[in-house]
Amino acid sequence: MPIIAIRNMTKRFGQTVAVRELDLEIADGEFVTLLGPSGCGKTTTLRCLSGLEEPDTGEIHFGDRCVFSSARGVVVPPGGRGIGLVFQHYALWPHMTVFQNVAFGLRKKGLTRSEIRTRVRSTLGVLGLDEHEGRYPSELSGGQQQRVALARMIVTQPEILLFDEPLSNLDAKLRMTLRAELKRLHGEIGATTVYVTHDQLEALTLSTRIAVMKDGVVQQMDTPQEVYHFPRNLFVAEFMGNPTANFLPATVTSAGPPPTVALQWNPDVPLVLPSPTPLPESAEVVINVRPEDIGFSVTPQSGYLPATVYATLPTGAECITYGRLTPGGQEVVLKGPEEEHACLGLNQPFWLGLKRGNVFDAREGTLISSFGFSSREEDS
Amino acid sequence: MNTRAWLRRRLLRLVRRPERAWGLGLILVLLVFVVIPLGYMAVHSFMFDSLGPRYVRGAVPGELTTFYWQRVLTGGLARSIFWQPFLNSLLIAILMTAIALPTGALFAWLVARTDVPFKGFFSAALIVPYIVPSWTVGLAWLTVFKSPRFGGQPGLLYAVLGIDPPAWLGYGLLPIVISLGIHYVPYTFILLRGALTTIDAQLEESAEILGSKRWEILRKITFPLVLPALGSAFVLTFGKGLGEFGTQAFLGLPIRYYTLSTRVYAAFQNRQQAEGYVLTLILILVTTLTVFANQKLIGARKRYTTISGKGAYHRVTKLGRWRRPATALLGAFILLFVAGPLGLITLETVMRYEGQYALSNLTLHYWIGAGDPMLAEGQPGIFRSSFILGAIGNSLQLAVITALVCGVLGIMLGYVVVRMRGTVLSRSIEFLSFTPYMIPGIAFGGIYLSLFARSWGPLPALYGTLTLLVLTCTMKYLPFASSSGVAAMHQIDPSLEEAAELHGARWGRRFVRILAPLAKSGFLSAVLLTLITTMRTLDLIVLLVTPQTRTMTSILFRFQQQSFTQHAYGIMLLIVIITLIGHFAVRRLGGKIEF
Ligand SMILES: Nc1ncnc2c1ncn2[C@@H]1O[C@H](COP(=O)(O)OP(=O)(O)O)[C@@H](O)[C@H]1O
Ligand SMILES: [Mg+2]
Repeated sequence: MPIIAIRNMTKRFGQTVAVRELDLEIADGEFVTLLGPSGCGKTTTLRCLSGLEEPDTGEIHFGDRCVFSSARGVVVPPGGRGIGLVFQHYALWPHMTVFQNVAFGLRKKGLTRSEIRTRVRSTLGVLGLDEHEGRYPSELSGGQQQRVALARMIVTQPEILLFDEPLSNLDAKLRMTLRAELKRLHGEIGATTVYVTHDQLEALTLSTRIAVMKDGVVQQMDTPQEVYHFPRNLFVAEFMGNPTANFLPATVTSAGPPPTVALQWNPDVPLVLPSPTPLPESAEVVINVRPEDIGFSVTPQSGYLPATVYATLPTGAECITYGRLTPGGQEVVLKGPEEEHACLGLNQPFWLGLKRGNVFDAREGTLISSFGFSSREEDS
Repeated sequence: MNTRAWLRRRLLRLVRRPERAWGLGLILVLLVFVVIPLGYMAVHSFMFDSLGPRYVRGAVPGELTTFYWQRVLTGGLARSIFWQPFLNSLLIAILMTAIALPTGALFAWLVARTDVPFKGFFSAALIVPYIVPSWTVGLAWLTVFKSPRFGGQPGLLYAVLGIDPPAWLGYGLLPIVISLGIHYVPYTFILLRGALTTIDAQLEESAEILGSKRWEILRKITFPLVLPALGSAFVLTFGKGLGEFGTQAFLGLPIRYYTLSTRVYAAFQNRQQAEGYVLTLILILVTTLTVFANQKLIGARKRYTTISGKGAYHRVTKLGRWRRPATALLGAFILLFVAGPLGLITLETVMRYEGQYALSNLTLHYWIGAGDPMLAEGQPGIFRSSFILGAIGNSLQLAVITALVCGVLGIMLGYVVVRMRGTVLSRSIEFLSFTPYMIPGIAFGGIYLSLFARSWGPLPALYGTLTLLVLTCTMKYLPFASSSGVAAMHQIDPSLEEAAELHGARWGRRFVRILAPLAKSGFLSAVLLTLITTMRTLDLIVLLVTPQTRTMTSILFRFQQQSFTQHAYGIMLLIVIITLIGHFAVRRLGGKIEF
């Protein structure tokens, strides 16, 4: 049985529909990330789970307990749901010390003073905050404040942990460290976690599953690998990956297998896609290839697309190269080890080979087939 | 050669970056008009004044003495000169705060956090007592409860019901406390409503998730978070209440109920300067202590700003069956204490004879009539009397000039303070420009009367000139203007100005093209606020006016004492209208309300 089940949940604010007919199931111990651009309804979903916001319609179950049902009129208040929540701005109480902040939730659990003290101390210890218990939040750094917020959440040992962009206020380095800490913490206490972020890297590194949202609707819910390699539609494909993947409009000239397509920008080069599944004859499609899945050669090769180098952006370990297809001039971005790209100079001609990618229906934007992946990956 | 190069560099720097020169100029102004007056007063409270020889045989004016301090604090008359008025002042301040704070806090919570209806209307109406002069309710109170036993005509209660209200109901402590309490409700209301809406909603939600009930959240989270705002409200109310003059004069003097501020007035009025200094110093001391006590109480370590996070949408508290009573309470308050007083004052101005509530008694005589020897000793209607029109002209002139001077000074001050942040100069300017705030108006007027009335150093004698009034009002209201100026300049990132500098824009051009447009709305609202504050001020100028420099408030005060009630109330109404218009203009500009 899933520990969290959202059924057909809708939440409106006046005219805007923040969440639309959402269905979501999360298993015990999972780390699920709600990922999507700002305003897509992630926070609203989380707040509905926490009980801070009341959905207009739908049901929410935690295990076998119904915590919200519009039809049956069930509304369990936030305090009764057994959840913990970390807000984006931490929401530490500025008039209480670190100790008081963390102890707040324990006071109503009928514990004795010394029990409270032990539990607060040990939680602070786990998060490396032992020395700061007497300080006020304003006297702590951003990372420390974040840890206090974590301590305040886990000290009451909730079964479900909710996070709303907890790392977005920190600098890049600290974000990295805390990401690792969060992952360890999840591994250690094993509580089911729902994590909201707009940062795909965070989602990819932390989650067991990712739910990509757009305009209040879940577009795809899958493992990070699945979401990254086999985006179910163009929106997900565009949202995942940095730099943004390549999208080449094309027409299917031969169904195959293997199918052959002609690029809209460069119809003279017939492109054979290494795929065991046929494509509908003369369909309008979009070929989606990740930058790291494009190889190149400085001499012409059959099945490779001619292009010129527009700019190379080395980042240390790897290099991002922008090219322009010739003729046509469509921009293509590729990524690879820096030493491989070192030979590319400005305006130099080179030839691009698409190693693997996805084919989307141009009109519907849905995934119709993938190519170049080993069959094991494709089956999964 | 070297010195010339040095001089040249200095000069260029002054042209390029004028804030240092300005800063020095401002410090000079503040020294002459704030520090020296305070020092002068402190020193002269230990010297015989010109009336000294009348009290002490052989006393020489200017001779050092502790006579006045003894007379005020321990002498045979100390009880009536100081202790009784001092206790009265304290009692008034405590009781009016006890009315204003809880009322304002409750109203703020209702409007900010609950589902009470007509929030826009209530918010606007609840601010009115703060806009109109503080003695508005006091004057309206008199129209109901005054008694012919204490001079003048009977009030509404006597005329209609035939009840002669007891003195304690019409004058003294009770009505003073009530009218001032009502005047100060908006202070708490505005400050607390601001705090309640800007607290990060998540701070309360965090507690909710941990299972706290609504009342517990209010007590343990919300209340401590708005405590600093409540503290400011307390200081403002208590501190200002101590120094209030108008209400205490209108409602206290007829029954010889004195307070510290009316004692200060009496001392200066009777030319007993040194005694006035002693009383003034004590008044300033008590006000200052209140401010420091508050800072100690709230504590530096816990001081925090509650910046609202994103999504700080507060969910409204549903009042349920309390919604109607709450609405009725707000409505009743506005009817009784906002609309009611203004209505009574208006009515008063169109009654031929006071206390005769009949249609036949209505007249516009006091507005547009020519003089009638049988009415108000032949004083013509407000719009026909050159005496009154002159006062209106003076008031407008005073207010406009003061507001402009204050506005410009405020912007300059803001510029210097912000650009030189961290330097001693910046800190001293900020501190000194705030000092006049701690000095009650009546005391401020008293000091300026004794210092600048006669010629002093290079300054000519200013007594009887509008300049003296402008000077007094400008310095007294500088704290508003400078805090607006500092706030406005804070908004402007130095890089905006530096970018213009890189394009070769000199300081003047930068000011006109970059700073002025960006600071415009802050400047305008500071100007308008000073304007309406100056329009309604009585305590600050009452000691300084002469027949030539009479203002609306000063002749109102005189008419009220002469029982020319209709004229007094007519002028009152004009002041109310002007200040209300000014206030709505400020709101239009998006200006912040300053206290
Ligand atoms: N309390 C609220 N009142 C009105 N509109 C809201 C409120 N909360 C969220 N919204 C709107 O709902 C939509 C989804 O918001 P949110 O869930 O906060 O998005 P996200 O967290 O994904 O950035 C947005 O259009 C936002 O403006
Ligand atoms: Mg959000």
